[in-house]
Amino acid sequence: MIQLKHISKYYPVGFGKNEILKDIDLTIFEGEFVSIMGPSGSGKSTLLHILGLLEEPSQGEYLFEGEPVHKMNEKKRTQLHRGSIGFVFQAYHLIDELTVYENIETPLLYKNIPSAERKSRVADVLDRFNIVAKKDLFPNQLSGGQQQLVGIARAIVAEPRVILADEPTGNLHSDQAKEIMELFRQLNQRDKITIIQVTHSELNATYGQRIIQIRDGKIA
Amino acid sequence: MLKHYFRVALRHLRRQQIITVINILGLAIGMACCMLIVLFVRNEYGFDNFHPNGRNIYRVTNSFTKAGETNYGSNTQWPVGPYLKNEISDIKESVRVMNAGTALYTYQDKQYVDPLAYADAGFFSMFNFPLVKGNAQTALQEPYTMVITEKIAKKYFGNDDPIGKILKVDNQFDCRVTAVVKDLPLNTDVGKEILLSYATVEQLIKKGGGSMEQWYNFNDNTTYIQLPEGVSLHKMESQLQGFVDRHIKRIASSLGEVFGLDLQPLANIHLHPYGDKNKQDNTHLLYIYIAIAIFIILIACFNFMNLVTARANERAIEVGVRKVMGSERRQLIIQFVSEAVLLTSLSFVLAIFLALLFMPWFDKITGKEFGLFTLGNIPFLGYLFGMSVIVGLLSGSYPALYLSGLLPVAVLKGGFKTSGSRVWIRKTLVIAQFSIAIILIVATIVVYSQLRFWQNKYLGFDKDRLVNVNITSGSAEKNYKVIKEDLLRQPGVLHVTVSNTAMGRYVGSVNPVVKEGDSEDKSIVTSVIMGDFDLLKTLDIKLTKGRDFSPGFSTDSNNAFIVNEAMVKAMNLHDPIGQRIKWLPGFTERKGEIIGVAKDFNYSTLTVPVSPAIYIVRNDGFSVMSIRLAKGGDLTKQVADVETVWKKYVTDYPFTYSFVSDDLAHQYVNQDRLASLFGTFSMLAILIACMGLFGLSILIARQRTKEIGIRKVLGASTTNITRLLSQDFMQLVMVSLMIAVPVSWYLMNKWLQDFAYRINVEWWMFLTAGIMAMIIALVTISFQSVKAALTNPVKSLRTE
Ligand SMILES: Nc1ncnc2c1ncn2[C@@H]1O[C@H](COP(=O)(O)OP(=O)(O)O)[C@@H](O)[C@H]1O
Ligand SMILES: [Mg+2]
Repeated sequence: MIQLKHISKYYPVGFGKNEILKDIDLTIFEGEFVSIMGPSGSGKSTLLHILGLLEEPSQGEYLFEGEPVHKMNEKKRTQLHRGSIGFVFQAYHLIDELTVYENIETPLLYKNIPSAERKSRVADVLDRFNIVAKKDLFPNQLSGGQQQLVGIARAIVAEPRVILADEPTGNLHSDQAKEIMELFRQLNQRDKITIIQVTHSELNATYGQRIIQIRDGKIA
Repeated sequence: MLKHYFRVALRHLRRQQIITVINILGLAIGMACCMLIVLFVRNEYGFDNFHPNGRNIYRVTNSFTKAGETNYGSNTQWPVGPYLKNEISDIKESVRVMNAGTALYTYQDKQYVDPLAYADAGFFSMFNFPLVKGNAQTALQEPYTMVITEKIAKKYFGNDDPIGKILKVDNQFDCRVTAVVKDLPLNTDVGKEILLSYATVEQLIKKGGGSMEQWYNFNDNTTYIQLPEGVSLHKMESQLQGFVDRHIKRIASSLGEVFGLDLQPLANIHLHPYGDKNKQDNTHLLYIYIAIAIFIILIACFNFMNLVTARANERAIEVGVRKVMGSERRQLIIQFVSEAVLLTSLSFVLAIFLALLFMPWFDKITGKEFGLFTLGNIPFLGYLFGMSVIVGLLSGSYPALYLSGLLPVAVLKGGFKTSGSRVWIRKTLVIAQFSIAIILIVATIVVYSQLRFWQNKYLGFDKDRLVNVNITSGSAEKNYKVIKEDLLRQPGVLHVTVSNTAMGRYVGSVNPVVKEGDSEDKSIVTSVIMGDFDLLKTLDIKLTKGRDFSPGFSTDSNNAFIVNEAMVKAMNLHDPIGQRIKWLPGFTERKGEIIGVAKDFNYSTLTVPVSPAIYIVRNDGFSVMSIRLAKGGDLTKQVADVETVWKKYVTDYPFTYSFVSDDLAHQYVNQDRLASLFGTFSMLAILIACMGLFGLSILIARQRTKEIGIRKVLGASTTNITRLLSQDFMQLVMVSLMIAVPVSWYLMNKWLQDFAYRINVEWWMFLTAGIMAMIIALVTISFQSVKAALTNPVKSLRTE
C-alpha cells in the first residue's frame, strides 16, 4: 500500500544542510499495524508527515497505493486527505469552537456528504466510542483521554484506509493509553484500517504487528 | 458548509468579546460616518438631477474682461432670456428666475416675511416641479399671480384651499395664488418656495416708468435655456457671440469692458454657483469630505486586519487541522472571508443605528434635513449594504489569504510563530492609522485657528454691537430722519446712519468710476456706498487722509467722494486729496473731488481681498439703518428699545434686524461645517485607531504572557515590563507623526491658499496634534501593559 524508495529529507541550515532522513526504504502493506520508535529528534514525525503527504521528501520516490506521490497535483492530494488518510495528533488538535459532534462531522463536510448520511455516520461513531453523552460539549470541557477519543473518531469517520498517529498517547496516563491502543487494535482488526503510529512506549508498540526503529534518520 | 462557517465564526466572535466589540464598534462608527458623508455628498452631486429635460437645460453665464482680467458670474440682464429665444432658433425655450430678497406677505391680519422670486411662465414646463393644484402651463402667465409650495400654503392658509387667495406683497400690490407646487426636494437650487410671475416684474417696472430693455443692468436674475437634443454647443457659442455683438458689445466697450455669454449645464450649477469658469469650485470641499470618509473606513478596516492576523497563532491550529482533513485553500479563504462579511454585516446594522443617532447633529451642521429611511433611499441603503460587504471582503481578504496559506506541518509541529513580514505589515497598518489620525487632528486645529482668526481679525470697522435694521417699506423710507432722531435720544444708542450697505452682507451697488478727464474705458469697477453724513462715525471707519463728510460744506452732498485705500491703489493716485473723479452708475453721473481716504475695511468674508470702494452722500435710496449700540448695558433691552421706536413710525412692515457680527459669521458656513466635521471625524478616527491599538495590546500581551512571566521571575519590575510592552507601539506613533507632519503641512497650506486673509501653519499645531496622539495612544496601551505587568508570574507560567 505504501512504498518508500531511497527517501531522504533535509533542511537547509546556514550554508549547509541538516539531513533528517537518510535513504529510507520502507514498505507497508494493506491492513498492517506498524509502530515507529526512536529517540527524540530522530525524524519520526518527519517520516510520518511525509507518509501523510504533508511534507515533500527531498529525494526518493513515494508510492501511495502504487501511485507516485510526487506526480500528484494539489487536488489529488486533497482528495487523499479527504478519503484515504486520517490523522491523530499528540496534542489532539480539536477545533476549540466546535462541539464534539461538529468536530467529528467536519471531515464529512469537506467530503460533501449529504446531511442525512452525515448524521447517521457521526451517530454511529459516537455510539461506538461511547461518547454520545458528550456530543454537545466543547473540547475544553473534556479530559485528555476523551479529547483523544474524539480525535480518533474524527480521524475515522470519513472511513480512511490508513491512520497516521503521532504519539497519540503521549499526553495520556497509562489507563487512557491502553483504551486508545485497544481501540486502534479493534480498528485494525475489525475495520481493516492500516495504522501507523509513532510511540515512545514499548508496551504500546507491541500492539502493532511490526516495530520500526529509527536512529539518526535511518531504519535500524 | 456556509452554515458551519457562520457557526464557527459566531463562536469565535463570542469567545473574543473585547476584540469583537472593538471590531464591530470600530467598523460601525466608520460606516456610520461614511453613510452620513455619502448622504451629504450624494445630495450635493445630485442637485436638480430630477428634471427629465435636464440634460438639455443650460444656465446662461457671463464674463467681463477688463484690463486683461476676466471675472465670471451667473447673472444675466433682463432682456437676455426673451431675446435669445426669439433670435436663436435652436433655443426652444428660455426661462428667467429672479431672486428679489425677502418680501412681506400679508393675508388678512397675518404677516409673513419670506423669500421672493419671479419666474417666466415656462418655468413649470422646463423644470420638473409637480403641481398639486393648478395648471402648470398658465400658472405664471398673468401679472400678479403666484405659485407657492404646500409648506407655504399650510403656513399661510392652514387647511383652506389656497387657490384664488389674494396676498398683499410688500404692501405694494395684490397677488393671486394660481397653483400649489409639491414641497421642494432637498437637492434643488432652481426651485423656490414662492414664485411670482415675471409678468409682475414687467408691470412694476412699467408702472415706475422704467424699461425692461436694460442691457447693462444686472440683478440677481438667472436665465435658463433649453436646447434640442444633440445641438452643437460649438455652434451655440458662435451664435451667442453674435448675440452679444448685436446687443451688448457697444455699451460694454464704452466702459472699456468685453462682455461675454456662456452656457453652463444644469448639472454643474450647484457645485459651480458662479459658472463653470469662476474659481469658486465647491467640488474641492466634496473631495475633502470623501477623503475623510475613506480615511475613517480605512482606519477601521486596518483594525480588523490587524486584530485578525494578530490572532493568527490561535487560528493556525484550526487551519492546519482543516487542511489535514482535506480542506482546500479556497474553502479556507471562503471561511475567513465569510467571517469578515458576517462581522461587517453586524457592523452595518449597528452603523445604521449610529447614523440615525447622529442624524440630528449632522442635520444641524449641514443645514439640511436628511432622512435615512425614506422611500427614495431604499436603493441607497442597498448600495450602502453592498459597500459594507465590499469593506468586509477587503478587510477580510488579507487575513484570509494569510491564514489560509499557513502550511499544516509548520503549524502542527508546534513551532509556529508570526513571521517577520507579518509583524512588518501590522506595524505599517498601525502607522498608517495614526498618520491619518494625526493629519485629521492637524487639519482640525488649522481650520479652527483660521476660523478664529477670521472672527477676531479687525475688519477696519467695529462690528460689535452694530445692528442693521432693514428699510423695506415706504413708511420707513419716508420717516427715516425722524426715526433716527428719536433713536439717538435712547440711552443705549450712540450713532445711527442710513445707507445702501449692510456690513456683513452686501455693499449697495457696483458701478464704474473713472478719473475725471480719462476716457470711460479706463474706469474701475467700484463698490459704491451711499449714505448720510454719519456713516464713518457709526461704523467706526478710520480716515487716513483728509476729512469726513460734513453738512457744513454745501458741496459735500453733491460733489465730494471719500475713497478707500484700495481705490487709491487701483487708480494709482499719488496725492489723492483734491483729485477729481467721476461716478458712472448708468442713469446719471456725478463728478467731484476726493475729500478723504478711508482705511480699507472688509464688508464681507475674509476669503476675498478688499476691493476698491467709494462713499458718497445722498438722501434717498437707502436700504439699511445701521445703529451703534453702547458697549455696556443690556443688549436685549437696547434692541427692544430700538424696536419700540421703530414701530412707532413703521407699522406696515415687521421689524427685521440682524447683528453685523452674526451676519459676518454666516459668511463662513462652508468653513464652519468643515471645522465641525473635521473636529468630530478626527476624534472618531483617533478613537477607532486607539480601539485597534487597545485590541492589539491585549493580543500581544497575551502572546507574551510566558515571556513576561519569565522576565518577572528573573527580576523585572512592573515599570520595566510596562515599558517593554509600550515602547514598540510608541515608536510606531512617532513614525506616524513624522509622516503626518509634512503631509498635513502640505495639505493645509494648499487649503489656506484660497483665502485672502489667512493664518500660517505653525509648528505648535503639529506639536499639539502629536502630543495629543501620543498621550491618547500611551494611555490606551498602558492600560493593558500595566495589567500584564501586574499579573502573578507563577499563574502565567503554569498555564503553559
Ligand atoms: N522545518 C524544519 N526546519 C529545520 N529543522 C527541522 C524542521 N522540522 C524538523 N526539524 C528538525 O528535524 C529533526 C527531526 O524532527 P522530528 O521529525 O520532529 O523528530 P521526532 O519526531 O523524531 O522527535 C529535529 O532535529 C528537528 O529540529
Ligand atoms: Mg515527533
